[in-house]
Amino acid sequence: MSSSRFREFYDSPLAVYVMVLVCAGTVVFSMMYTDIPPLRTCYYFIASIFSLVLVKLARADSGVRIDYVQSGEAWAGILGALIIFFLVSDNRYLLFLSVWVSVLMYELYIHQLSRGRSSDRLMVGYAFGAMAVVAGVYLVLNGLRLDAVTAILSGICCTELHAGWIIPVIVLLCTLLYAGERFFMYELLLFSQGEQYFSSGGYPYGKVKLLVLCLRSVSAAFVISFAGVLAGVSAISIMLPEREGVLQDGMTVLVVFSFINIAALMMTYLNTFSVLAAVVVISYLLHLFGGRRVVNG
Amino acid sequence: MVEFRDLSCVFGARKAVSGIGVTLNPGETVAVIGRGGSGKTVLLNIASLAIRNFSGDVFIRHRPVQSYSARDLRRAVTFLSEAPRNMEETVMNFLLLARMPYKKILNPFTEYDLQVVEENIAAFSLDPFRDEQLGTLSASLLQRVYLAFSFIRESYLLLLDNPTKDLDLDSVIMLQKAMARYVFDGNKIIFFASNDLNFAAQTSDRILVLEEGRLVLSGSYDIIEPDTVKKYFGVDVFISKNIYNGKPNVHYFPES
Repeated sequence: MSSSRFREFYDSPLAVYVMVLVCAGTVVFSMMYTDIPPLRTCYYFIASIFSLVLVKLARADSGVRIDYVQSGEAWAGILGALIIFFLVSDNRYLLFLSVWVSVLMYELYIHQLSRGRSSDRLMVGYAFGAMAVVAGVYLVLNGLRLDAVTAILSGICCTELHAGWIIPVIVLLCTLLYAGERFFMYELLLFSQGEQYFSSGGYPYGKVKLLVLCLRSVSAAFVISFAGVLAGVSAISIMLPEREGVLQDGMTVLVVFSFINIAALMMTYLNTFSVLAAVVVISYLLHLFGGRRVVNG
Repeated sequence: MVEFRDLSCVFGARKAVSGIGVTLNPGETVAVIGRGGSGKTVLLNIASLAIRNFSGDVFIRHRPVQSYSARDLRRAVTFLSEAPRNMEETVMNFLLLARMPYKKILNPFTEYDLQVVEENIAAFSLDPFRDEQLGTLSASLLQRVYLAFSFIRESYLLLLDNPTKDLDLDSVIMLQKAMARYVFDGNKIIFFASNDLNFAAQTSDRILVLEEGRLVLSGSYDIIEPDTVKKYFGVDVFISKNIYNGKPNVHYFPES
C-alpha cells in the first residue's frame, strides 16, 4: 500500500472500525485466555489516553517529535521508581510520586539544556536509557528482585487493585487534560513558536512553560506507572499525518491500547524481558522510520 | 504618531544608536537605510521593545512605549525579529497565530480574524501552500509567510527588517502592493530597514540614513543621489528616474 493510500485509509472511518475490532479482539483474548485482570486492562486504557495527552502536549515543544521512551522521560521515571523501590518502599503511591518527580526534574533539566532541540533530547534520552539499564543491573546484583524490575518496566501501578475512587478521579483528570489541550490548541501552538511569539499574545511565557512541564510530567508519570514502556508505540501518532479531530485522537488511543494489550499478552506466554526489550526496540525503530519531515528549522 | 526622542543604545563599548530623534506620522512609509552595523535593526528593536536597555523615549500615540501591556504593545507594534521555532506547523495555523493578541481566551477566532488571514494569504499568493509545513517551504516562500504574518497583525506601527530578503521579483511586487494597501487609510505606519536602495526609494515616503548609529540624513526619495550613495555606502552608482513614477533607480557600475 502506497504512503498516500495508507494515509487516506488512516483518515477514513473504516480504519477506526478496523482498529476497534483489533482492540476488542485483544481485550477479549486477554480476558479469555490469560490471567490478566480486567482492571489491569482498564489501566492500560487509561495509560493510552494519557499517552495521547502526552503526544498532544508535545506540540508545545518546538520540533520535538519523539515520544516518552525516546525522549528519556520513561527512563528517568523508571530510574526514580527503581531507586525508591530499592531504598525506601514498594508503596505504589510513593512509587508513582517518585516517577512524577523524576520526570519533572528530568523535564526541567532537559528544557534548560536543549531548549527544545529534538536531537539533543534524543541523545540525552539514549544516555538516560543506558543509565537506567546500568542502574537496574547494579540494583539487581545488589538484591533488588527481578520481578520488581519487570513490574516497574511494565507499569508498577497496574499490578494491584486501587481504591474505588481513584479510577474516576484519574479518568476525570485525563479528560480535563485532553479537553484543555483542545480548548487551548492555538495557545499551545503559539507557545511552541518561542518566547517572542508567545509573549506577543500577552501571555506570561515563564509561568506557562512551568505549567506545560508539570502537565507533561504528570501525563508521562501516569503512562509510565500504568504501562511502563509498553506505550512506546505512541510515536506512531507523531509519524502519521497530523489531522485535527476527535477521530484521529481516537485512532491514536486505539493503536496504543491495542499495542499495549498485545505486548501484555505476549508477556504471559514469552519471556517478559524479551518482550519489554522488543517494545523498546520497536519504539526506537518507529522514530527511525518516522524520520525528519521538514527541511528547515 | 510615533516619536523617537534622543534614542541611544550601547553594546559594550560601541554605540549602536546615538541621539536619534524622529517622528513618524500615520499613513507614512518610512525607510531606514545605511551600511551594515549602522544601527538600523537596533532602532527597530528599540521601537518594539525587543531591546530595553536604551536611553531616550519612544512614544506611540503619545504614550510611552513602556506603559503598554504586552498584549496592547503587540496590537500597537509588530516586529518579527525571530524565526518561529516550530517549523512543523502548517502555514495556515502559523498565520492564524498572528491574530492571537486579538483572540479572547477560550473563544474561537472571529470571522474578521479569518477574513484578514485569507486576504493576506491571497495578497502573498500563499493559497497553494496553506497546508504545507513551514519547514518544507523555500526561503522565498518562507519570507512571504513571515511578511503575511506581520501584515495580518494589523498593528498601528509595522516594523520590517530587510523585507525583500530572499524574495523573488514577483514577491517584491506583492510586498509593495501590500505595503501601499496597509497605509492607504492613513491610520497606520510602516517603518522598515532595508539594504535595497531601489526598494527603499520606490516604496517609501521618507528615507532616513544612519551612519555609525547616528541619523545623518533624512528626506524624501530625492536624497538618493550618486553623491549620497558614495558618501554613506562608499559605492559609485548612477541614478535614473523611473519613467513610471519619477522615483530614483539606482544602478551599480559593473566591476571594472
